[in-house]
Amino acid sequence: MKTEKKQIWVICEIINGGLSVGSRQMISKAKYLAKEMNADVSVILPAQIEDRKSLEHTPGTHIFYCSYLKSTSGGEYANKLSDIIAGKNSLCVMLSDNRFWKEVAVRLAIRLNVGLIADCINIVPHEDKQQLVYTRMVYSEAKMARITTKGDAFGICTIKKNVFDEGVATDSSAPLSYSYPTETNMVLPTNNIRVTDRTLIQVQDQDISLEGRKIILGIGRGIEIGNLKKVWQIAKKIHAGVGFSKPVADSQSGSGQNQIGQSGKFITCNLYIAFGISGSIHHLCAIQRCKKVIAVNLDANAPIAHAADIFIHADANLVIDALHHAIVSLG
Amino acid sequence: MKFVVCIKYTPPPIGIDSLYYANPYDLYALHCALTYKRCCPDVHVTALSMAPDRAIPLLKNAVALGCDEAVLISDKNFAGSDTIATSYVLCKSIKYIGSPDFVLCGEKSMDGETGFVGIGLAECLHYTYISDVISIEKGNEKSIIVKNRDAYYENTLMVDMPAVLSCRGVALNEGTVSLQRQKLANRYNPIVLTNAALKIDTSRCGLKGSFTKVLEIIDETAPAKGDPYIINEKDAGADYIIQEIRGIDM
Repeated sequence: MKTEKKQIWVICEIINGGLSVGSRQMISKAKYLAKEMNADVSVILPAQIEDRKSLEHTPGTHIFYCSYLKSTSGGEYANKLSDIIAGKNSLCVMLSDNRFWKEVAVRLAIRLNVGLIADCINIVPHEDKQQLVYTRMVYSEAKMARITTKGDAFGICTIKKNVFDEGVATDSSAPLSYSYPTETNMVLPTNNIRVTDRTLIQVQDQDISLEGRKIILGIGRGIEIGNLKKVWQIAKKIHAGVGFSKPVADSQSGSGQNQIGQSGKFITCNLYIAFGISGSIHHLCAIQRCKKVIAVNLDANAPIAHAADIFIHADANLVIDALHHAIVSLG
Repeated sequence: MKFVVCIKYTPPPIGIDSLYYANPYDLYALHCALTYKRCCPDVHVTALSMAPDRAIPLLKNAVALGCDEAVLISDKNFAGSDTIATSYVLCKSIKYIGSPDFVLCGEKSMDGETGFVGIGLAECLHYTYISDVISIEKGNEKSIIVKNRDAYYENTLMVDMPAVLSCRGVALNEGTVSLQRQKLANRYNPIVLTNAALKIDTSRCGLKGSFTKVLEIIDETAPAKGDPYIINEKDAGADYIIQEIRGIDM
C-alpha cells in the first residue's frame, strides 16, 4: 500500500497579483524541508497569481486556489482552512506572523488539535526525521527555545518575515497539481462589533515603512527625540525606511510598527545605517541579512561595532546634523 | 456586568528580587478593567490566574488594587501546559466561575511572548475577540465602547457581550492602593480551584495535553562580522555615508 506523503502547508498572501515576500520566503523554506523530510509542499492561495516572479516559486508544489478565502474574519478563515487541511497527512502549516495570521493560527490549532508555535525564526528537521524543530525567542529575547511537536501532532507555526531566503526555482516545471476546493461551512459573520469612529494615526509610518527599501536608517537610544524629525526628513529625501531599536519603539518616540529586532521585524536591504544603537543580540540577529551595515556610536565597545562593516566613532546626533545639512538643506 | 481579568505570574526579570512577577501586559488589562469600574461601580471584576499556590500574595494584591474577587487555578495536572492547553484550562475555569460578559488579558506574556492565549480563550469560549485594545468605556446594558489601535487607525467600537479583549499596553507599576483596600486584601483569601472542583479532562492539559514540547532553552550568540573599518570623525563619517547612499541605485 502506498503511503501518502506528508504535507507542508504554506498559507500565502497575495499582494498586487503576486506572492508577498513573506509567502515566497515560506515556500522556499518549505521546499527545503520537504526535500529533507521526503514531504510535499502544498500552497494555499486566496487568488490567482498574475506576477511572473511569484510563479517561479510554484513549481514542485501542490496549489490550492481558494478564492473564497478573501475578505473573511480570522475565525472564518480558520474554519475554511481546517476543512482543507483536516484529515491530510500533515507535517507543518506555515503562516505569516502578523496579528491576523496569528489569530488564524491559534483558531486552526485548536480546531485541528495540533501544536502551535509562535514567531519562528528557524525550522529544521528533527534528528528522528519524523518531526520538525522550531526555534523562537523567549524571555524578552534573552534566550532561544527549540520546540518540537509531540506524537502524531503536527505543528502550526507563524514565521517571522525575512528570516528565510526567498530562493528562486531552478527549473521551469509546472506545479505538481492544482485544486479548487469548494466552500463549505459558510457561517455569516456576526454583527456584534460596530465601528463608530475611525481616526487616522501614524501617517508618517507610510513614508518610513521598512518594506522593499534599499536603505534603512535605524534609531536607537543614543538619538535625542528632537533629532527624529531630521531623520524622517533625511529618510524621505533618500527614500529610506526608518526603524527603531526595542527601547525606542517601546517609548513614545518610535513607532511600534517599525521595531527592528526579533520581537519586531527582520530586515533586508542594501545599506543599513544604525544611529545610536548599541546592538543587543536580538537587534543584531534581525539585521544580519543587510548587505552593508554602517554603525554610528560614541561607544567604541558597543556590540554593534562587531556586526558592522563600517564603524563611525562619533556622536550619532552630530552625524545626523551633518547628514541633514548635506542631504536636506543643500539637497 | 462581569469582567474577568487573566493575570499571568512569570519569573521576574533580572534584578527584581521576587518569586513571581505580574506580567506587565496583563497589569495593563487590569488597569483598563479597574478604570472602567471606577466609572461603573456595579461592574464585578475577578482576577484570575493559573499558577502555583505561591502566587496567592500577588492575587491578594489584585484585590488591594480594586478587584472584587481573586481566583487561583492551581493543580499539578495543569503544570507545563502550552498555550493551547492553557487556553483550555482557563476556558473551563471561566465557565466554572460563571461565564463573564468580558474577559480581559494582556497582548502577550513577558516570558513566552506568544500572544496566543487571548485568541485561544475566545476560540474555546466562542466569544468575540478584539485585539489591540487601548481603553474601554461605558456603553449600554449589553455593550461597551472599546478603543483599539492598529497600524494606522484608532478605532472606536461598540462591542456586544460576550467578548475577549486583548489589551495593548504595559503597566509597569500596579497603581496606588488605599490603606483601607490593603487591609481588606490582607484579610481576603483568594478562591483556589483545583481539578477536584473543575473536573477538567487531564488528557487535554498540563504536559500530557500539550502538543508541543520545549527541547531546550539556549543562549543566543550575536552574529559578528569581525573588525569593522573605523572612521573617527563625524564629518568624515557623514561624507562616507553620503557616498554610500549615492552608490546605491535607487
